[in-house]
Amino acid sequence: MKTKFKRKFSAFQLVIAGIAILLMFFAFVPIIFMIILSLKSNVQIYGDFFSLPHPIHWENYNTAIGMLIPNMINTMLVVAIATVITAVLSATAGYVFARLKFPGKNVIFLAVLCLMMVPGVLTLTPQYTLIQSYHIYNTWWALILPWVSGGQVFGILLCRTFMEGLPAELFESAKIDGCREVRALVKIAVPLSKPIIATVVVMKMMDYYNDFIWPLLAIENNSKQVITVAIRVFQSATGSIDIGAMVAGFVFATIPLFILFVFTSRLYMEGLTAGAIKG
Amino acid sequence: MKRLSAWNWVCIISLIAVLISGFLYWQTGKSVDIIQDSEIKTGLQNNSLGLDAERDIFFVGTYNNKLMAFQNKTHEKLWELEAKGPFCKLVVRSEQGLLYAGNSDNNVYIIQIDSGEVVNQINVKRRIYDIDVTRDGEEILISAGAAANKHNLFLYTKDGEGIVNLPYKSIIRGVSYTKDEQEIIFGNDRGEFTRIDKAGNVVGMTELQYRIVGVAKMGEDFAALCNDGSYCVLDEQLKLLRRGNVQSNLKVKVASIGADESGEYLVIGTEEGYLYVIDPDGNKAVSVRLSNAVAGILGVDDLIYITGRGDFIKTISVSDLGQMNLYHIIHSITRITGAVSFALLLISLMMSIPVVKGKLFKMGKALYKYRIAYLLLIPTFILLILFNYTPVFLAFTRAFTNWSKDINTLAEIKFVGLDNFKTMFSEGYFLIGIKNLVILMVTGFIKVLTVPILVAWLVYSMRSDRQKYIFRFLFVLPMVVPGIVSSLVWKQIYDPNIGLVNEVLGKIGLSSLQMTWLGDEKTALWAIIFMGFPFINTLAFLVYYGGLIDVDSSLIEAARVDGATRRGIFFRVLLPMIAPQIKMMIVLTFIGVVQDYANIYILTGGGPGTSTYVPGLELYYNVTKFGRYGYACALGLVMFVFILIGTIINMRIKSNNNE
Repeated sequence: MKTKFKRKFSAFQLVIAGIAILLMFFAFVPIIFMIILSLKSNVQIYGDFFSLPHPIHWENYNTAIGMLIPNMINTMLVVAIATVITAVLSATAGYVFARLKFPGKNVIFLAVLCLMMVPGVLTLTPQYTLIQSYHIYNTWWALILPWVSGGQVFGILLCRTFMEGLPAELFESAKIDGCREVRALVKIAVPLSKPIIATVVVMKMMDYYNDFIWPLLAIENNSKQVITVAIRVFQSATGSIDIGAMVAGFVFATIPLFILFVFTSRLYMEGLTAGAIKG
Repeated sequence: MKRLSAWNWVCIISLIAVLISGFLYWQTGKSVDIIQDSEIKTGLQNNSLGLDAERDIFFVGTYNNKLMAFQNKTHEKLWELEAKGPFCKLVVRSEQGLLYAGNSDNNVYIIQIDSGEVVNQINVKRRIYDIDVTRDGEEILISAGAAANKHNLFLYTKDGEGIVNLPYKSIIRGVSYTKDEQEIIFGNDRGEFTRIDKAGNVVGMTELQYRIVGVAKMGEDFAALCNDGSYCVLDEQLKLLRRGNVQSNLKVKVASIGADESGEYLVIGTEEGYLYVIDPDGNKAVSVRLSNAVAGILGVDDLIYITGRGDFIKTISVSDLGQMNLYHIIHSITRITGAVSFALLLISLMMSIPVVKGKLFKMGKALYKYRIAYLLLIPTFILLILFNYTPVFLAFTRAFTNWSKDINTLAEIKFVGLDNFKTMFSEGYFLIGIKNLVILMVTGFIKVLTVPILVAWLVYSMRSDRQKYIFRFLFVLPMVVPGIVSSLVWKQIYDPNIGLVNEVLGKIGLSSLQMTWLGDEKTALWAIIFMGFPFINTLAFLVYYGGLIDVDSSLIEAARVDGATRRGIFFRVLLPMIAPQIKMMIVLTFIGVVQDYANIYILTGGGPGTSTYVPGLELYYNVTKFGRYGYACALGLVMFVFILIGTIINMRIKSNNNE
């Protein structure tokens, strides 16, 4: 009993917990700073920078959300559409490469795999001019299609690896039942691969939501723009006039990802580590 | 044997079809032929045109301040007149025998056509953009301005007496009377296409969203050209009849618009020398590039005259244009028939050779047998071809060309060898970028190799699983802040007036250290590096943590039994065991740092001066600001090679270590 107590509260454990908490405090400083600023008026900010917001200025959020809600809706729609298409294509192609036999399979798969090596900087310029010649410049398709096209590569790899690991007997029995490939995909492969598809969904949702440079290039009208670019426009517009509202906008832009994280933190962490494997 | 001869027949027929379509395609494709050269030469840079159909006299207003009259048939020069500025607009009134010439020297010259004598000269004391004259030649409508927000519409009588003066706050580049000449229609820089009465009351207005750079009468209707490269046709009631684009990917800087006399065809010319003729269905009947900027367009009877900044006057016949339409249809049909018959030809040729035929049948059979796999991959590959393979191919090929915003058709793009790569070294920005990139790279490695390992080890060393989970969760949590928000928050933290850093320094009595962190060449780059303190890279943390929990606990026990200290275990056992993860993070950091410029774009935009410039940012600016696509591709290619070499070196080291 005594030794157990001693082990639990050993000096070493206290020290590492202390260092961890200190580091965590610093990591959270920008977030705390952001939340406090978002609840203060300009007078409070300039008056006493370090004071807690008192009284709390919730109206900052009214201002920010009022300005940014159309862009947030755009983002939600575009990201949702892009993610769904990515998941469907990843699962389908992943299944084809994992489960079906056909001539040229390895060459075709290699052609997909090669794209993992291609960095965004290489294709940025041609893509920018291509969306103009495809006549989708300044439309949501200019975001969705290139996102899906690039995003599915990573999804296909994950899905293929996962589906290859599924027991072959399941699919064999399906064949005896006269179940065609498409039905095997929908009825067997997809339900069994839910965890990996969910990982792809969460990871891609994050990527699409965070993208800044591409929407900046591909979308011209602010009314069609996604939140990341809109928040930057909002920042330059409100910057010095109303710091509180500006920062409230930052918090608003963070909320969707926060909610996503709270519900999917496990997938999120797994996805990140899986995402790293691609390198 | 019978089938073989059938294939031979197909072969011969498709060969004939290929030849016919090819010939027709070639014949109908020569749209340049429709443009004829007039023999009238001024020897100067032309700017505007006028034609007196009754007397058959042709007028050319030049950019070099001269106005010339020619006998249209003999091309003989009748008279010449000099003013102080370029002649921007000529209006002919045959019945009165007068020519009204608007000049950028603030004057409208009224000239006797027969003698070339100036009857009257109206000075409006503002630069003239456009004029129009009533049919009886009595009243002149003038659009003139002194500055972007000082613009006027004037009405003058022929004798130079001012009737109306309407001030406006936006430049009006195109103005015209309505058909009954009781009202005025104009388009301004705010994109407002407006109809007013002569007292200046607005009768109607249509918003065209983009700056209107030209207005032309089009029979009964009006055409407006906007600076986004679109044109609009509106009726007198300002109802939008149709709208279209001539150049969707170019911003039209200075451009001119005109129409044939009956108002069927719309003619648009740009400063880059592009000339388009739009038919009534909105299709481009003609699309060519002239060697000079297009400035003046005039439609009289069956002919459309075009001139510009050069000694040329071109004519297009409207009846030829009618034929063009047919040509176009044939052109597009022959393209399809040509392709189909060519494919047929190839197939039939191959089918005629027994060995190939057998192989083809086999391949077709295999494709059919496994069709479901190929069908399922089609959507994926359509997207990949459109948005990944084509860009990669373009990037590799166009990096060696002079491709740019203005030079963007296959006919114009030229191979320039390694010029783009030489520019990188001669221009200097790339080298500055590399220098900064090296600093960012080294610090990036230090950041990813210290704190994340420490944090991963801290969490790993915690005793209770619950505690581990909570700490892991909380260390990952800050990642939910979108990258862009994080950059903007750090921008606020560095704010010189009301930023966290300076406020903290002030609070602890170190006001002397307060700085404009991002606005000072000495500190800007370091401020960017320090961003994200304390550098708990979530990905690195999770990867290291994953590596640590995979370490066999018996190894650690063994080390402990051997009397190793905690430090010893960390450096001798744990670190070597997570070496693969460390290698991977180094590669990822390398790739990430080369590519990531969004942060810098937001925080400093590369400034102040060039102190935070990186190659990625130079690429971005060359695409957006400068439109030098070829150069941008070359930059992308160099960065790609960088990344490739870096990755390969790292993989080499990795495999050497394993041996």
